[in-house]
Amino acid sequence: MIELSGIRKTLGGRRVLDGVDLRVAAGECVVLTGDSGAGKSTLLRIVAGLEAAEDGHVKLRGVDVATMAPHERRLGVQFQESALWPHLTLEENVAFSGKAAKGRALQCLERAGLRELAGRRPGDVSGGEARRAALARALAAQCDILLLDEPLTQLQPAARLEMAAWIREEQRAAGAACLWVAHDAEEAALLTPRIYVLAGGRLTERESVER
Amino acid sequence: MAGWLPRILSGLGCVLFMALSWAPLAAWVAAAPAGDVMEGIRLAVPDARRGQVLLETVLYAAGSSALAVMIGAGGAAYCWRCSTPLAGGASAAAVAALPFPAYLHALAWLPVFAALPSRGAGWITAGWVQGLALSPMAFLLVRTSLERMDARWIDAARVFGPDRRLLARVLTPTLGGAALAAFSMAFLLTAGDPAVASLFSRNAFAMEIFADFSATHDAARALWLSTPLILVGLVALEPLRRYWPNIAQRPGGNRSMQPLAGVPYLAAGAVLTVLPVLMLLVAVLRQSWPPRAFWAAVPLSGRDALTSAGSAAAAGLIALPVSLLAGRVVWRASKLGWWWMTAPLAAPGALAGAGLIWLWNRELWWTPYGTFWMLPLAALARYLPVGILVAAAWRSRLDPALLEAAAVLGPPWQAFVKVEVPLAAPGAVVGAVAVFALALAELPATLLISPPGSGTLSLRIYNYLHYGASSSVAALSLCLMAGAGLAACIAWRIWRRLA
Amino acid sequence: MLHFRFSFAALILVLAGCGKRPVERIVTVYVSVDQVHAEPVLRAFERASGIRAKAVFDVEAAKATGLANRIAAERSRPQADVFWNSEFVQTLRLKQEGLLEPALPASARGLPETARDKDGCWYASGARFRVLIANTKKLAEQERPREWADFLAGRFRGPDLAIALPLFGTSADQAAALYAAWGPERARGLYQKLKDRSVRVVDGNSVVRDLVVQGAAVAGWTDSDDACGAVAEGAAVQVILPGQEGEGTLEIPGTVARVKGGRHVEEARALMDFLLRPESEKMLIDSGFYQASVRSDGAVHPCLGRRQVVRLKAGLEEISKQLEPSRQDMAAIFGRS
Repeated sequence: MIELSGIRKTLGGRRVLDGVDLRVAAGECVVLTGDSGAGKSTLLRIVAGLEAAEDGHVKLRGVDVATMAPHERRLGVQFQESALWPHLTLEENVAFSGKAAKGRALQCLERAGLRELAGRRPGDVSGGEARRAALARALAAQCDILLLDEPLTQLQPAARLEMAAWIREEQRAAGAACLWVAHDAEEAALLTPRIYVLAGGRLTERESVER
Repeated sequence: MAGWLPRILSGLGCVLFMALSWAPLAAWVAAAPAGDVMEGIRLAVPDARRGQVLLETVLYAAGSSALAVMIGAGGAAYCWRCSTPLAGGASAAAVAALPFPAYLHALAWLPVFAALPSRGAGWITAGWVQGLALSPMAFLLVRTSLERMDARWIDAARVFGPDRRLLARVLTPTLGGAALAAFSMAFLLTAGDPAVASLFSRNAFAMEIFADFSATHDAARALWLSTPLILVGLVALEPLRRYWPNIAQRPGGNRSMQPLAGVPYLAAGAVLTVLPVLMLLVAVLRQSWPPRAFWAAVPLSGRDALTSAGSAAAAGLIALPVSLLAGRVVWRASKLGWWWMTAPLAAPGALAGAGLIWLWNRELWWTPYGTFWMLPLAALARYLPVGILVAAAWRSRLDPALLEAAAVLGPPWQAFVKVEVPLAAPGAVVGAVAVFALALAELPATLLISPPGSGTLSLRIYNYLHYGASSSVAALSLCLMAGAGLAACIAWRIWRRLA
Repeated sequence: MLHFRFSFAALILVLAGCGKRPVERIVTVYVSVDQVHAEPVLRAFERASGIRAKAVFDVEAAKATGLANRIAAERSRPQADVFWNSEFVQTLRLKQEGLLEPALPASARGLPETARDKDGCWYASGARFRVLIANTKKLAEQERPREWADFLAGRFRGPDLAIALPLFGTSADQAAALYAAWGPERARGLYQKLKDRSVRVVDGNSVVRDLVVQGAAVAGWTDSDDACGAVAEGAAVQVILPGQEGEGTLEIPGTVARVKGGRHVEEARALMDFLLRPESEKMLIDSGFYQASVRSDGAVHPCLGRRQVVRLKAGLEEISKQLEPSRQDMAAIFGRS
């Protein structure tokens, strides 16, 4: 479903991705970890089409997406900094990506524990609530590819477990391929058997962890 | 963020910008070859007298701009996160006085300078008034730039050294770019506008252009004569290009900190921000007494006030979509694109007015010449780049992740209509209000193109100032101050609320 | 925010509504009489006739020349119906260029021959004079200049005297008048000697007045309205009419003319008729803009200190003809393009 081959990217004169290869099949979840500045978010942005790789190919659903605009890739994306639009309510934010999302917006907010706050704007909710709303936005359209950039940070431990379970649920229901960036192994351990470490621009698979 | 709708609309914005801001100047270029080129070159190279006028104009513009920046930057730093009455007063004064035309300040200072042996005539007195008038602009630009400063930098500097070191080593380097951008903007606004200098009996270079065009109505001649001033203006645009992003950067955080108010220089800046507004208010209220004189002058100029408000509103309304759409391009523009968008600022006001006459005083099925519409067109020719710069500055303060999220999660038209436009709109509104305020005070172009029966308030005040009819001037000034100050306060409120 | 948007839209609608008025009679007039003096006269006309006078006023830096050039530039689509000029040279120039049209307003019938064009293209109303202004603190009574040529007297230092650059406005008219009255050689000689003596040449008559009022110059050449204005403000200056024992001084009559091709013929005639009435002329003398009537029995402003003024003999047409030759000489002498 997601296929990366030979991805290279230099930022600020430093090679952050140096020939990254990765395959994520439908229904599979892969976690990327690594130190700060290792290039995890950059890799995610390349998959999303927000940045171009200097070299290498990105294939989604078997198609090379080099010339495809970000929205044409039909992705469920959660950004590292939530990126909720401040002038829209939480419901409008979640419903943004189209009809499918619109129909499920309230349901997703309910699942995220934000039903009561649906009419509020991002500036009027806490950081954790905004984070959960951003996750609801990523999951609402039931896309078959999910890109999640540290989706559980800023959440209380109980909420982390709850949200991780929800992500797994949605992912399984949609049979989605999921690429999950996690800052620490503990977060990664919450849901997936496949963990990769990005270091020195290269991706190496870590020992599988059974939950 | 590909997509035909945003692209077409941005293109439309750029075309409108070209038609409004560049067409009057392009008209001059078209007119130039009609004349004798050798004669043109002779006019373009200033002789000894015009060379001296040019030098005096440049020194006057540089001196008054430096004064404006020193006052504005000091005042802004003083007021940053400070809650003393002086800080509140200085901030309010800077916002309200931003659109007050410089010749209004002349009203307050001419009686003060009357005690001097020269009775106030001279470049220094003119520069003082012009500098005070432009200081609110410098204040607000530096103030906006301060928002990107991380309070931890200040805290750390306080721990390791005295306030003067903080001023020299932290504040000045950090705010230097914004100060230079403010200097550049002040220089451009001064060099192209001879009004204050003429009130202090000094002949600025822009007045030479105005007088020559009035005397000859020769399009090519005025363009050639303007060449040295345009070149100086283009040089002055460079700091604006280089340092405008310093003002435009995103806020650097909201951590609490001790205000900077303890530094004496900064307190002086704050005092000098409040002083001219107070002086102007006192002068206007004193001179418009008794109220009979006031009430006699106001109805006489009611039509002018309506024309001023209407033409400035029309200019602002047209500037709104153009700033929104063209600002989208400037935001990401190359160096060349940036020059293209801002170069009209380097042209003296008289040239813009004369260009419009050249363009529209001809037999067409309809022409704005001789109608009310010449007024907003003149204002847009001069100040549309300011609206676009403000809109572009606002855009660059937006969190790019918001636009990226929209690009990923929806089609381009939806990302544009539902996310990009609402997020960028406040900047365009503030830019449009800036155009409104500047249009309200526009003079050099209006002097040439004012249509019959549609005089503006600024034109009347300027004429009356020459005759010394003080109670009438005071009454009219009060009207202009109320209108312009209100517009500025609305714009600032929008900016602060949404920033 | 929404509220703000509605208010803004409402404001614009109101402003747009202001543009729609019932059909009204209008006349467009280009005015080089100072706005503060001219406006009450125009308002009085509006009240008396019901015709709206749409005016374009001159500005200090361009004066009548700017408006006359605007009329010339608009020749293919005339905007103005009437040119109300505070002097005569630009009016005569427009006539020469065929941009004025004959008219005979009723009130023009009482004007003397010298105050009207033989073809009826323009009429005069109200007059100023070229005068000397002297600082009474700096110069004793007997030291003050009485004639133009006194500026060459040995008792004055050149830089203590001031004149306006004789290329524009009434100072250019004065040079042309002296060319007409004295002959080019004598007149050119006077200006050349002034230049050789380093007399201060400044950018306007009001600047000359200010310099003398401040004492920065002891005497200068200026217009009677500027000089009388200084006297009215209590400045220590004296207004001196030169040539009163001999050849006279230059009178600068204001002129009223109909612009060729103006669309509002009847309204233009009504305005001209109003402006040429003795009452309108008196309004402007009382307000201090003019200092004398052009009528033979007309009043002279008290600030001139005499009831009759001896006028220069040269006719307005003659002076007008000398304008360009004298301007070229002045440009050569004073080094301006």
